[in-house]
Amino acid sequence: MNAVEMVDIVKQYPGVLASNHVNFSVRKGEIHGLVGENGAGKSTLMNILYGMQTPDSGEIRLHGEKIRLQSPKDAINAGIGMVHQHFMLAPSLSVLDNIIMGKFPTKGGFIDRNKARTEVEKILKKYNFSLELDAKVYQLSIGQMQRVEIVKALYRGADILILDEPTAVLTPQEADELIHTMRTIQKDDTSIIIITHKLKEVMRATDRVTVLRRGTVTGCLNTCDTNEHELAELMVGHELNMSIAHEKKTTGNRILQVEDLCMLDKRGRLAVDHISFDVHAGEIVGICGVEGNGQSELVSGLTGLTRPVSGQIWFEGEQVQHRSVRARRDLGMSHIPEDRIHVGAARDCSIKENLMLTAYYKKDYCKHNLLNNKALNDLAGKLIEKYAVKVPDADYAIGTLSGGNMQKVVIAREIDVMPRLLVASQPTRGVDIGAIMNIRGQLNALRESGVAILLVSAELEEIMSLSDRILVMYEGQIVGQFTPEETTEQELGLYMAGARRMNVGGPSDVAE
Amino acid sequence: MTVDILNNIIATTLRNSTPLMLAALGGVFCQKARVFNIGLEGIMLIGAFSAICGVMLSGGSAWVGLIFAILCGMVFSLLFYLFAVKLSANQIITGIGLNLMASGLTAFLLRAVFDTKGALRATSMTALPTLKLSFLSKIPVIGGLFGELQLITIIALVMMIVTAVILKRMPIGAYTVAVGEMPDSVSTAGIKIHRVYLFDVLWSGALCACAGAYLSIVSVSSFTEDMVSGRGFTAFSALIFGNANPYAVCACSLLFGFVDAVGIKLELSRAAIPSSIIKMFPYILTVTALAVSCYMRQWKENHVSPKHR
Amino acid sequence: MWQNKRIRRLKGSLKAIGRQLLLILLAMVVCSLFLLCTGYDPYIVFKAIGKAIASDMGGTVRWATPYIMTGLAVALTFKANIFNMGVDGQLYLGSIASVWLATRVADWPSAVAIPFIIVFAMIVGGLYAVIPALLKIRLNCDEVVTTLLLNYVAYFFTDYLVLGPMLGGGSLVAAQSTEYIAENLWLPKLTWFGDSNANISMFIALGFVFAVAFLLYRTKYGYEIKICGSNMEFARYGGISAAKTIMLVMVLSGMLGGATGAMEILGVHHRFSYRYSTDVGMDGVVIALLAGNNPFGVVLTGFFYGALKNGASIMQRIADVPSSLVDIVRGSIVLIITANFSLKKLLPRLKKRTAAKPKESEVA
Repeated sequence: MNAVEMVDIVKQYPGVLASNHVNFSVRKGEIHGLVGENGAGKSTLMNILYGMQTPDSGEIRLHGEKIRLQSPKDAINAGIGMVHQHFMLAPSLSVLDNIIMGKFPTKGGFIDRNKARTEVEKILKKYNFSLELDAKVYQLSIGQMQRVEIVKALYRGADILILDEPTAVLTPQEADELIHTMRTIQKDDTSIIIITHKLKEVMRATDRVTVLRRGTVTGCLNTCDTNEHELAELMVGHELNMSIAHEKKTTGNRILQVEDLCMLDKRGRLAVDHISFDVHAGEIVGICGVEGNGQSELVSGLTGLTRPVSGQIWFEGEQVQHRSVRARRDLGMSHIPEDRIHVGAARDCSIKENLMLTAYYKKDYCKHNLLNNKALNDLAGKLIEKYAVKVPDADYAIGTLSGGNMQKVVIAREIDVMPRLLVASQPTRGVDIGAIMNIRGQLNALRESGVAILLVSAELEEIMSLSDRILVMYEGQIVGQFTPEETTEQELGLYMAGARRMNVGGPSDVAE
Repeated sequence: MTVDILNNIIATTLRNSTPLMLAALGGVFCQKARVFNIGLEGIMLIGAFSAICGVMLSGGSAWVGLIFAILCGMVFSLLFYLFAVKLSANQIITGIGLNLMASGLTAFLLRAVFDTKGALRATSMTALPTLKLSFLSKIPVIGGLFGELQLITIIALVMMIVTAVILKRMPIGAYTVAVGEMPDSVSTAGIKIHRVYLFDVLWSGALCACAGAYLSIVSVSSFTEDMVSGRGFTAFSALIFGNANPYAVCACSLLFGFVDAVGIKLELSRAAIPSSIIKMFPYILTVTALAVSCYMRQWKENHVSPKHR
Repeated sequence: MWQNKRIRRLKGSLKAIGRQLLLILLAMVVCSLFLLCTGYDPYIVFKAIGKAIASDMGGTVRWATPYIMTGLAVALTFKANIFNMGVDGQLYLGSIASVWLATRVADWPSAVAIPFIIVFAMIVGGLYAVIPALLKIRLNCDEVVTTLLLNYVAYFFTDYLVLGPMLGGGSLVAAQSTEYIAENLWLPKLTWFGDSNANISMFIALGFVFAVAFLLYRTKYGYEIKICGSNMEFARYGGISAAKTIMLVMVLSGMLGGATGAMEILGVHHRFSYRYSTDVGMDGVVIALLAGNNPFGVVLTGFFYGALKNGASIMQRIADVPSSLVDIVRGSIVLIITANFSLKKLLPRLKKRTAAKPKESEVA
């Protein structure tokens, strides 16, 4: 009998069919991999199973019985546990308290920690885990925190365990340990679902695997009957062709050169690991990779939003790694940010105010610190017309615009200052097809006019159709370098999933 | 002579710190849950007023006054819960609004209902008992100062322990800490976080009202307009200085009270060091402590060892 | 096009004023209910307030002046999404500084001395605001807490000065106040309203209103302040220095606070008495909020507030209603404003809950 059975699940978001008649089942005591690209609908499906979202239609059966899951509480009571990518732990509380959070055994109103301790220790002993229960969570390593999360779910009596991208935050050693842990838990007839895009781990750790692409199941296979190539193909599929006519041109001077760049992420871990590459005038260099492999940190390092730990960034022969954002912009660097809503725009401000960010302090628009409102109005009007932003006029708040129109404002602002280098991060995310074509056309035109472009995108097809050179990022390193002619999406998929790597631009083995 | 002065100062310190301790302890749970409650001042005022009302309604029972004050304080703090938590309004502005309301409401009712200007005196009140700790008073030299302890001072000290115990030993304490640090850790465990906030806010209401009641029925047995006069903010400073740790918060309240006592003494003795300068110090200390703790936090963030992934 | 814009702008400001009036009306309804409960006739009470305001315009102008100033000071920081709760402290330091300087420049011609005193008070207030600004920029200390705490430092420091080295002689000892400043430094009174404390500092305040409006709407700093207040990430991404902007608004706000102190001293009190000013800075928060942080709106709400403050005491005499009714009005205005803001936030959330529509970013 199947432990989990999700039948004909449909979940519609505005503009996206996140789950398109999905059937998904997990057998008792198996480790089941759920793989797919970003936006394939993995998280949606699991959020439905954990009661965080309700499906539009379809039903869920646990151990053969139909069940309605309205909230995480229902799911917990039904024996489902979820380990989120971001740990739900209170740092200053002890490990024990975090494990028993929400299900404190009490004696006369007080937490009975002795009882809890015996219960938790029973679990630890059963699976042969080691955890220091009195340590505070902030003292733990990431891998230990994850183990706390797993024990927390087991303590609440979970026999179905969902792990969301469990290895994304772990060192290779910790990941090995995790796989070992999963195998131990599995012996107890507990079913485990791991959401991942790392095919290597799928092959190593799972018994069966379900592949999702754009909200539909493209395959459900026994792991021993398949291989990484087949899975990569199922994941990526054959998509509609939206390529841009693309003339090969000789490239110009080297505009951007990055040498041995290292960046930390917000949690202080090495997110960009000794990366070196360059971008020339008149070429588009595409960086592809599954999200969270250091692309965001790389971009914020290049544009000056965060300081690198080490390494150099050269911009047209000048070292810029210690320059401010404004200084880099003044040298001719433009930036289309990946998060258009929270970084690329000020929602409550007018379109004009959003458009003038890159120009307002320049001498055409600002004399003796006074803004020349007429010039700025003209600029806004000109940009709206030139880049076909659909608005009545520039005084409307930008928050009222659709995603595509908002992105047009961002692009207009970044392109119109005539940059030497454009760093474009996920430029077509969340915009409609018309706008996608428009934006890609503009990037291509810009390339033709001799601008150097660094394109960071999770969309393989976009990378393939626009780039002159492609770099693949995996775990903070560049693991592959290609030209679009000599590779396929399937091959890129393998590199993105960490199944293969070449030795390019990685950590230099030579001592400094 | 010096012993007398010392005893006097210590007695005044205890008197001054009791309301600070109570109010600051009331704020502990809110602060732990990262609910910024600067409405302490207003709740104290409501407590002070309703305590006297309770005394008058019951014909002179201080106990009824105290309990009535606690009830009113909790009801008033519900307003904070409603606006700042339920409606997710800005906590600071809600706090300011409540302080204004409290000051207006009490002064208005004072004139409208009791028809008095300035001060409302509770005639014929049976005061709360004071404790004579005879075994302590036998201690040589400093024994005298424990000769008479207000019951409510004892309550404050008990509340310190109760707060610490709830924080460490009861589920709601753990939930409060977790809600402050990582609200999702509580909500994904199937607990309604609003209930946690409700407890925290009600707790602050009860204890701050208690502190207010102390001012009106224990130290002077009358209510005057705006009699809290910034003590709520002082308690808030102690809360910040003590980093929301119940024991540290009480110690800081004692410090504030002590400084006040020394100030009064200096004023009376016309000493060379002006009392205002002395009173200034705890606030400067608090700002410094805050700056240091911010610095430490930042230092920690900047010096995480870059672990390889 | 040009005219359309004009009309829309006009409509926008009318809407804003309408919103303010609605809020005030709502607060009055709350108070009426309250009055009814306590046995007063709201109609008589409000008529008395009206009468009180009409009978003493001078008092209204007198009180509107500091309210406009503190409201302006707070509104400026709110624009950058920073809370300066320390206007009271800055005001106290500005006041004492102007009294101190006034005794030293008493024999200067008043046309030179008065501006000099005001500028000096502004510098003192501005410098005092540097502390919380630095703590915010360098250490990310919550400016709400630090400014609140620094208020007390300022109070006690001025207590020390006024009770110690600067205490006046004779009857002023009992009054706990400094000596009066020389009469040639007093700001001229406005005599249009008969005998009142209204003085030309009203025009100074209006001058500051225009200066702040100019800064906010005509200079690049105003743009930077607005962008920082609206989305700090966006500002950083565009290369705007958040640290500089925070410092700028805090110092300017502190300067306005200091100027308020000087204007109160030179215009009304002519001496510094122990804890003479009560919560004018805190009221500034409410005024700024009610004005939607618009400098011209601050003038309107400042006058409204001044009228309430001044009318309250007269109303008490006429209608025998406690003047503290006004505090209740003010408190309920604040709560209604916050509730209004949050209802706006809440309504779409409720809609979302029923329709289960997640944001774009939540689709994964």
